[in-house]
Amino acid sequence: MLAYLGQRFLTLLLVMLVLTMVIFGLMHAVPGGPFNMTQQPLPPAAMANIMRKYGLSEPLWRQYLNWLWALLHGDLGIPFEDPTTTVTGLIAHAWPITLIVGGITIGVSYIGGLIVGCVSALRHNTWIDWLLTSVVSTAGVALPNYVIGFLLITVFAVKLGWLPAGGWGSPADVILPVIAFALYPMALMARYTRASTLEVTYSDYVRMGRARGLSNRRITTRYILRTSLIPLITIMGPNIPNILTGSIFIEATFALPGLGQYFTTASLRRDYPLIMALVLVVAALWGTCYILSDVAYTLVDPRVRLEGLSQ
Amino acid sequence: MTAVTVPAPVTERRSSSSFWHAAWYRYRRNKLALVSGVIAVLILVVGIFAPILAPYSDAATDLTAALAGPSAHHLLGTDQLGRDLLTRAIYGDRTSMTVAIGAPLIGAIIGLPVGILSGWFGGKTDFVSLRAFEVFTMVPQILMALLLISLFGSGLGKLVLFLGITAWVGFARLARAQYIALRDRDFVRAARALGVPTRRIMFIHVLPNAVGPMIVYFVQQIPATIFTAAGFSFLGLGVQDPLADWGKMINDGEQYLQIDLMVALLPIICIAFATLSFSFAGDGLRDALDPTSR
Repeated sequence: MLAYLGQRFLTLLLVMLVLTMVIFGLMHAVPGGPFNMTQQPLPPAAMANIMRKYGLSEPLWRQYLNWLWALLHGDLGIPFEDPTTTVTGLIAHAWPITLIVGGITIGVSYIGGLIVGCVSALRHNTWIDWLLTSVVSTAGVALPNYVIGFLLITVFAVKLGWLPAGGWGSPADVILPVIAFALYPMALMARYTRASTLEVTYSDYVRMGRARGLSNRRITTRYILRTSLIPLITIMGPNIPNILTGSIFIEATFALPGLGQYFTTASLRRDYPLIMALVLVVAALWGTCYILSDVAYTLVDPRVRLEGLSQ
Repeated sequence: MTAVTVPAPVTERRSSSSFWHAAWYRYRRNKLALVSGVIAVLILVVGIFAPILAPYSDAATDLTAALAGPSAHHLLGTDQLGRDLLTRAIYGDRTSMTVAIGAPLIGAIIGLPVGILSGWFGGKTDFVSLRAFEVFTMVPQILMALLLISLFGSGLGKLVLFLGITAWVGFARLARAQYIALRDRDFVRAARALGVPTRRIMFIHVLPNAVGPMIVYFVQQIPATIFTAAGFSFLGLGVQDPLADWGKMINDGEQYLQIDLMVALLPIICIAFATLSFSFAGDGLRDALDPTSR
């Protein structure tokens, strides 16, 4: 297992190396630079000075190696848009906000989705099933989360005045973003839970258990739910980094000072160090979650063997 | 000799047409999917014939009637520049559908050949494209598209292009899985044993068997793309004025909520209708074309 994990993480590192090269090349291939959008064009001498200061006058491969060398020393550079801080500081400041909102969203949507999915599957073809399935799945897929957020703001903040419309500071600020954000993953989770629970409910071994006279409760908890939750790990695993890196749209709608805004501003302003740092964070998170969900899959389902893992 | 070869194409044609017949039968039985499909087609038709159907020109402003509310002249009212809302919604349909169809189309054009080649040939081709999948899935599609759009600038064409470029991995994965599942089936071996050229097997024999899930995936991508495209417009990175777009209309209408709710509500209703009809139609198509999947 350790060897397998080592191999997977080594591959991840290689992939990330290639990815950063691609992004680095792409950023510099675009015409225009980070300091071309000042209000007045800079005099050539000042421009040359700035370029030299940030090491932008060196050849591209040299710049990449410099960046990589600094990265290996834990230095992500200085953001062009705010030279008084470091990229690390900027991310350390913004990411916790995204993580808090994302973490609560994961909790709410997964637990809510599981409950909705299980209840509607165990009450298959009753009015509860029909109501839950149609309402949750429709609400989750009908509108993008920022539109739901906008509707929530209109109703609960503007019209009723119960909750803040946006910003960050008090615990109440979390509520609306989480509702808007959680609806879609919750619908997804409920749909898959319902499908996989139904599949197990009508399987032969459950019917066999019933025939042998096992109690309904024992069948449900021991035999149906345990098996039916297996596929959810692979389905929802890749969703976690998506939520944790924050929806740019949700953060823009609710004016949250999280990581999402930097994805837009950094690339609009050609803030090379910040773009690279964001790509790194996202890629590392995605890669790790993919690997962990593969591993988790084998832990809960002994029928699955990892490719390349000797027994 | 001829007596043996003649019946073969006949049965083949009958079987393939009966597949589409059965699919159509299954689709028709699903009332929700049928209604959604009709609405989805209507949305497309309205987009195509927008200049004929819209009561005004999409850029015609009438500042004296700005945010005027519904009237006989403007059935659904006007926006902050006095542009007819119904007209804007119809042209917004055209823009949104251009992106929603165009981007997955580009994704399919890039992704399907890659997936087909790597699934069919395996080995080194497969290895290379699997590594490419890994690199491209490391950064989520929306973020990658966002990065490209912010770097290269926005606009309708670029929006379609960048959303399309970043959508290819899904199509490639699907095609690869399909071809791996099909390449060792008996009918493929039989065709190979009979000396049918590889290219002919790949596209005449295997492709019709793989095309169902591809169509389903394509249709399922449409609502997702509507979301993303509207999101970019919402952030100000999508379509630029004077082109109408639903996401941009929401963004504009947000500021005039207190005066006229309709300005923001109309595009929201349009987005909800479009995404729901395309996703229900997509679900129906999946059940009809790909009955083994859940």
